[in-house]
Amino acid sequence: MTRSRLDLLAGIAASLLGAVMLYATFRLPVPIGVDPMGPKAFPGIIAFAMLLCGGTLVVQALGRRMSASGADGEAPAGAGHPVAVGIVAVGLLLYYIAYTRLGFVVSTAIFLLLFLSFFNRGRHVVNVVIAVAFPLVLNIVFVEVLGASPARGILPF
Amino acid sequence: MDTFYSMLSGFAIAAEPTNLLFLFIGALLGTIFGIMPGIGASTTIALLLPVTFGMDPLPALIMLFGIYYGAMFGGAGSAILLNTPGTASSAMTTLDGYPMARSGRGGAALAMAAIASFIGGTLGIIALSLISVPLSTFALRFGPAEYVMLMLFALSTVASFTGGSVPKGAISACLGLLIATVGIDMQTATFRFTLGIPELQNGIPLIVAIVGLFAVAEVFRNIEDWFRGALSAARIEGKLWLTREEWKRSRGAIGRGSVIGFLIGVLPGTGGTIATVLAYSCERAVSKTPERFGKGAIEGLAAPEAANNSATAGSLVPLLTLGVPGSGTAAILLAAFIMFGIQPGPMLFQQQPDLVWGLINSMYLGNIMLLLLNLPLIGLFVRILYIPPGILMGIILVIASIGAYSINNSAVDLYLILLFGIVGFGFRKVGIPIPPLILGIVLGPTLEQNLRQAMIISDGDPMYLVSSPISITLAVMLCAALILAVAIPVVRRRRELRTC
Repeated sequence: MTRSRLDLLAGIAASLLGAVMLYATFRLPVPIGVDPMGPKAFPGIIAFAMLLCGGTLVVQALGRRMSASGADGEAPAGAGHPVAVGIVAVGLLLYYIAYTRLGFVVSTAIFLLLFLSFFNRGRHVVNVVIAVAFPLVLNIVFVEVLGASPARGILPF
Repeated sequence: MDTFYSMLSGFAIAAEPTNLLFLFIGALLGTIFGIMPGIGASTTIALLLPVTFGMDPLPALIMLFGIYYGAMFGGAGSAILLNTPGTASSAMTTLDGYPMARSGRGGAALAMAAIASFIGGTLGIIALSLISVPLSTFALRFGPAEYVMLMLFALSTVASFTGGSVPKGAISACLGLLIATVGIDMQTATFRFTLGIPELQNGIPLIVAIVGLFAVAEVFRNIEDWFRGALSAARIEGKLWLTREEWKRSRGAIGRGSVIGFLIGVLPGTGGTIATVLAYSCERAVSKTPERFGKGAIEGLAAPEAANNSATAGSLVPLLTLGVPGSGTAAILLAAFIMFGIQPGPMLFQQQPDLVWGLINSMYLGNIMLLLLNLPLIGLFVRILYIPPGILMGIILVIASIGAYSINNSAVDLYLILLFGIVGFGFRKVGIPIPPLILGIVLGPTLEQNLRQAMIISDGDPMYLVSSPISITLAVMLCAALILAVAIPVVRRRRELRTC
């Protein structure tokens, strides 16, 4: 994907978000006898500014695309691995769903084991040790030292 | 005289064993995380911010500040040995640091980076100590209108100069300001954009947004790097100590770099990266042998390192005296202050002199600690570069998650850090800068509150915002910054066309 295409998409997304926020702002109730600005003015101004900036980005990106099509064309932006990132994001979502049900230690051990099995391939012993020991140590630090309470889940601690 | 006594008492506070311990932890963590390419101060502070939640404010802030300037020390390690800057502001260090390492002077390059960072950092802190009180006294004259203009100036400069494009920076700042409006409006008790989720009634937690935008997004970016292939580090060769000739060449460069760094660092939105570029360019311009630059000139390494650390101290001036952060990392530090119920600004020096002077003076001690740590142990620290990135990514994700959850014990916060992680990753892909977004979230509530106060005072007259000499000056600076931000790329493009 070229840089101008990315900018175009970002501009459209920003404009859409600005428009949605502007609409949501208009729907906010206004209590009687409030200050001159009220609860709507500030988010309304910002949403309008967002709409405007998104539009500017779209215009800039379209201008660049038109000038690039007249020349040699545009070089693609740095290629990435969005699918891999998407898979990790889904994995993280599942981890968070399990977090409150299974508890911090168990869900983290499973998550780390799966994560390391892919991103630290071949080092099975190290991966297992980290996946088991790290959540236990972190749990002790958070509970005993910092006084926090990570989700217990199915374990008694 | 009171200030002088507060300053001295600050030294005693900073030297208390607990504070020294947390200073050491901060400096050490900053160095270690600063060495890791792409992680840097912002991500490290974001990651550890939730961990400090239950701590006393002063040791926690001392630790977080230690991480900030410790990361500036550490950033040079990967720049010199890996040709990959650990932090964005270490980018200029690669130009002469890496050629030095390749020609067998890696040890001397690391030593010079540590010494220049120490001198630059210390000079920056001295300037911070001298300038803070007069500036905070002056800032006592600020009313709501002046604060609105000041915050708009900070937002516009950060939005304009941190990315390559003004609309992108502005989109980022607007999104941050919109996020800040989520929750109950404190003046009218109106629910704004909470989507019926009770956890959002108190707004989106600042720390959750910061952890997601920096730590989780950074891991997503590292996952892409992992697929591109691992980086290989150069070995440290040569003596750690400098020759007399190298030291002679570097002295002036360190001095000039420190001055440039501090002056640039004080300005909102500019920060360490621009300071290092200017310091390097200045050094090259004054050099009698500019052709050596880029091939291992030690002054080309010394000037940006001194500037980088001096700019770090400079960026704390607007944060501590005006309550307005000048950079993304300073915005995260402001979030830390707010988390502890402390509002930085002109009143801070009057109401909590022990805290503010303890904090500033801990930086002198921290710099000494960092020099003592970095000179003999840099060889040990850079071994971190050999830790498999897969392990680091997994550990960062877990610490980010437990930290975010522990603040409110809320599963919604976990989903929010994932959402912010995706937003942060998307922003990086498109080239939208993240610091304006953080600044928007941090400054949003204060900006709205001051704007509404100004409108109440003036009975809804917007001209009140530019009715005092201070606010007019700030408005002129705001306009100048915007004009410059638009004009600079146009001039640059015309110059490029002319050279083609």
